[in-house]
Amino acid sequence: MRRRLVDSATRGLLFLTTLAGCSLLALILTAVVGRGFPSMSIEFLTREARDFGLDGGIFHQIAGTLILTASAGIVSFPIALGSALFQTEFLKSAGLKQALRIATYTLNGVPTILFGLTGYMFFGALLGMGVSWVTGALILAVMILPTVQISVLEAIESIPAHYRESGMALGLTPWAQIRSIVLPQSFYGIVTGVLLGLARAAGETAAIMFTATAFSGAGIPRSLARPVSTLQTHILVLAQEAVNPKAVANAWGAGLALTALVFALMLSALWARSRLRLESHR
Amino acid sequence: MNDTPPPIEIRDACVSFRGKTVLDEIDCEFRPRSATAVIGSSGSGKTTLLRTIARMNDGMDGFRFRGKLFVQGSEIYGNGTDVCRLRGKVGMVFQKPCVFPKSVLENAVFGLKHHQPERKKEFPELAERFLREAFLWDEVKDRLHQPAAVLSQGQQQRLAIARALAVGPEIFLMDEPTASLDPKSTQAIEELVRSLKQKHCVVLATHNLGQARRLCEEVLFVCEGRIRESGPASRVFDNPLDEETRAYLSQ
Amino acid sequence: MSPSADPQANGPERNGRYFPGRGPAYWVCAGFACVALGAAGILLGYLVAESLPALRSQGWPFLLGKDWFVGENYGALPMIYGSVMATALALALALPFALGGAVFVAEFLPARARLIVKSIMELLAGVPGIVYGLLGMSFLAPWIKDAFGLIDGNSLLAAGALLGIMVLPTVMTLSEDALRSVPAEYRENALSLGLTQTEVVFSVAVPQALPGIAGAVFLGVGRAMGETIAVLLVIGGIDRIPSPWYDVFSPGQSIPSKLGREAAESLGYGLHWNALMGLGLVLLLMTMAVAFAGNLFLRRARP
Repeated sequence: MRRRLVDSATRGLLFLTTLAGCSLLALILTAVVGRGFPSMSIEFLTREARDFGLDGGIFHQIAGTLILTASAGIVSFPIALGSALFQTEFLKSAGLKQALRIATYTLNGVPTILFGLTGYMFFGALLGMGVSWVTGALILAVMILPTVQISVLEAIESIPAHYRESGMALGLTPWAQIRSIVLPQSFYGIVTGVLLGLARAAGETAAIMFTATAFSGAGIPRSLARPVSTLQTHILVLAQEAVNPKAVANAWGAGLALTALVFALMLSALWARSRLRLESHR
Repeated sequence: MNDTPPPIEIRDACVSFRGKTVLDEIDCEFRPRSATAVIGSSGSGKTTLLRTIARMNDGMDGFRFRGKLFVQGSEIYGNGTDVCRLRGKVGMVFQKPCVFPKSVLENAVFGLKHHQPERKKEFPELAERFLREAFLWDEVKDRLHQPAAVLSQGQQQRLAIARALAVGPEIFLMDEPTASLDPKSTQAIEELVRSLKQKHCVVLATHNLGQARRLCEEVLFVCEGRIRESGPASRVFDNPLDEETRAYLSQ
Repeated sequence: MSPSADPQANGPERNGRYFPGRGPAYWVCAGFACVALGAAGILLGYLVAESLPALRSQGWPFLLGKDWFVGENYGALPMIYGSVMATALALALALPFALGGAVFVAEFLPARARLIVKSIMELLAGVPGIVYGLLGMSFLAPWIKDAFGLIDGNSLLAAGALLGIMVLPTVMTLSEDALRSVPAEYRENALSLGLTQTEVVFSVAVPQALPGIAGAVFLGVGRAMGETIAVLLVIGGIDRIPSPWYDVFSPGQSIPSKLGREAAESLGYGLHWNALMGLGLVLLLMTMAVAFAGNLFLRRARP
């Protein structure tokens, strides 16, 4: 009897903690949508900012976030894929493999601002790229590299051994093995990794705020050497003018747009991962 | 003697998962102090039948039970059944030996620790008693405090049986307990079943017809979720009445 | 386990895998792997090289000094304190909910509901830090100010609470994964012995998932320590250790928030920059230790 009581009480307690956690998070979503929605309009999304962001829209900021994120993804993807393939298909030593793995996982936990600081020193100062689109893209690319790589790695490693063995039995060359077995079998895993990486890059502020972005005057950059303006840094600057209600309202509008963008990427990633699971259970 | 109800009595039972019927028109009883073999091909519903008796299907997706199932005279799918107490009375042994990542001793008293925590002081003696009953004591008495995972598969299975014995069940459901064991370990488990059925009602699901013949007094042949034939082992094996049973036994 | 796993029999085959020779594909992939490693090397190299001047001119007082005056002296202790304190507060606030939630979702929710809750949690783990910062600034800090009667809501407590909210989904989903990876047969065996479901959870599932859960917590700690932008907006930005030290209602400064605030002022020049890089090095070592420990635990959980 006492055991039943303990059982029910524990269940209730666990349920309450879950409920509290979930409702807190529901509250967050309502707050973001509720605060951001009033500033949202077609004009807000399609016009350029005026009067230091107090007036006008966020068109350039959306475009800037998109191009910065996309270019980071384009740089990062081949490196992550090649590196993951090297670890799974070519590297023989178990010790080296383990070391590379630990390095990748550890890098994934490095605070993003450090990528900003050292990335600026290397790309911006040493290579003379300055505060620019290309500096930001490269910094973000390095930052999301471990994220993408880990996803790809895990997808490749979960390919059942019999697929590989049947490829080997047919006498495939390494490249043919990669092209016809490894890549098709881990396709959705690779897609998941790339999308997660893009989501991470799109939401990142600290790594780019003093390395790639300018607050005002930066439209769509005409060259790689020009700074961009992004949603993230736009919100940051507006947020620091907390006394001006118009600035805060526009910050929330931009926040909603950014959250929607990141959620779209995350949802696609979740979808791709569920496809990966489906395929591997077939 | 007729006053005591049979250990297990199933009346017109039907089990389905998500609307798909797995067991139908099950009607049988099991006798005390004897072993009953449940035979039939893979997927015929043997495992489901055993799990239904211990209410192990409760958490499964879309599980539904219709009919009546009595354990020692009380209906277990009725209201107010204490599932934990039921499972204390009905021990279950699974196909794959499964020991917890703890020491041999802790494994032996694992269930006891939750059912009778007040007897904590007696645990070492109790562990010895049940390990002896499971014919395992001599093999493990020097390594009671080592992790149970170091034991062989056959020893792990006997440890699982000792662990179930410790809770004090009167009924033993064994779901192909020797299917993943080597011949020598199988022999040890069979020896153990012979001693268990002196006191307990044993229900043994098995693929191994020789084992069923060696160990069991009664046989229940299940095919596609229905009981096709039941009766004393000698009669069913030597003179099956049902067409399907004959076909299965002659394989 | 297949009969062909015999290493002697199959030449280049090992553990059922085929290790081919060094064709162009090998060199391309090796090149990319080197680029990836090189990036990590550059990160570490720059942090060490650039912080050396500050460490040399300040000596030990860099780590232990309590004052940070640009142009005079640089003491990192208030920032280290702020980082540790905010992270500790975040853990204290988030862990009960994250772990309780993980256990409930993994063990008591039906499959479909579990999928929904998990998807929501993973989405929330992806909400940008700047949006959390905006939330903290508009709701959390004013609320803390009113609730505790402070002059300014921006404080260590606000930073800790905000970080707690931010890492909750991460810790919860990873712990849930750890619990789900405990094989179902252990639960079945324990259930068949007549244990109640919570007894099964706490005597079988949780102990076995513990390394994985510990790993999840460590990764959460790492995330909280490194978060810049959200903390920057609510921590208050004062470089001092409050007295008494446990006064979490006073404003503070964490290492990332300090870097975020001041890096743009001295981008690449002078001792100030070197000191900031030194702070970055301290932060990197702290988070690397945490991430390393966490991954050790996770590795033990997934042999």
